[in-house]
Amino acid sequence: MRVSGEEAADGDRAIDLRGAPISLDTVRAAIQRNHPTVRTEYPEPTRWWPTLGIPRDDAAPLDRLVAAARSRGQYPPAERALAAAQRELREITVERVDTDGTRRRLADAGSEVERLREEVATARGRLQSRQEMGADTAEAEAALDDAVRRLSEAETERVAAEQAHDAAQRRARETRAARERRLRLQDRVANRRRDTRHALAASVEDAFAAAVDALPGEATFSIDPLGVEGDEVTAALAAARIADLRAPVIDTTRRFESASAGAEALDAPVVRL
Amino acid sequence: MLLVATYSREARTSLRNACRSHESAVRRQFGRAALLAETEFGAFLALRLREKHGADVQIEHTSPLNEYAAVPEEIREAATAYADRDQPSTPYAKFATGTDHPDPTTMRDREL
Repeated sequence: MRVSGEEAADGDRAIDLRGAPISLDTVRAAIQRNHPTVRTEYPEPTRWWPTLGIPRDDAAPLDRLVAAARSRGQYPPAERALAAAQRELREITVERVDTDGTRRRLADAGSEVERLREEVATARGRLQSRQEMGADTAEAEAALDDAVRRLSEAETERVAAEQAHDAAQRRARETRAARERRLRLQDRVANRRRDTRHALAASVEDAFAAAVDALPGEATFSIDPLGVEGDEVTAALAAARIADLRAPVIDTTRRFESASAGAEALDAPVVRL
Repeated sequence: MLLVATYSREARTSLRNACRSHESAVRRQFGRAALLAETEFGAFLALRLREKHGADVQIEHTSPLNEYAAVPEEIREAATAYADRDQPSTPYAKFATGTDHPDPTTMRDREL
């Protein structure tokens, strides 16, 4: 299938497909070499194209700016520190310790001992009163013996449960050092990521301002606090203009009079949709 | 009280959110740990965190220390004497040598 719209004077650089029976999804897939039948003759896009190739207000302007800086090959020192922290974080292993079972066992063993202590006291009381009455004590004696035996078993179980619980607690304590280290690294990764974004965005500060000047609408980038203010579509167009995308920008913004005006303002090939 | 200490970013965030939403159940909050009231609700909050974050949440049952009931007199006296020492730079082990005060190794090996 060969798609041709109203091609502008400069042909390959700007093409207006608004009248053509073709959807945004199809064009996007074709540009990304993902479409089963539709092909384009444009070079394959860089990996930043999915983020930046369709300027809209659907992503945070700062994310677009950071992606644009990356597409220009920016690699701030903070990024190296980020990679190092991420590597260290990946290398940390934290042993899984589940102390739930031993806690439950210990609690159960404790209440069983309490229950049997009462049972022994009751059985002893019954035996005593039968002795005082001069009644037959054989059955009461057997019941007491039985209760005493079960109490002794329960006490043994409680000791075993205590030991198992202590051992599990000790293991849990030992893994906490590793967990603490992991938490520190997680924080470091988050901080270095913030530094990296900061440095990347700052590296295209001037280019962004110049790009906004060449485009309709207003947007300003500020370093402290880090952020992009103003028209998000303008900011997205500016990010696309400063980025290295290789493939054309799909322009759906209606901000330009024609596809070729868009191509000129964006300093890139444009497919208008 | 219930001491809840957290060991991951997610668990720490959950603890902070819980503390923010249930101020009345929080006695003190420190960074990634908090002391919760010793109520069923405090326990509920603590257990909910452990349920969600597993071993990244540590829960301890704490109580104030009454040193007159729980700590032998010689330890209390050693602490008082060491706090009052003339030379601030003297380490305790050296301070205790040649006195009646217990040496630190002995204290370390004896459970309270």
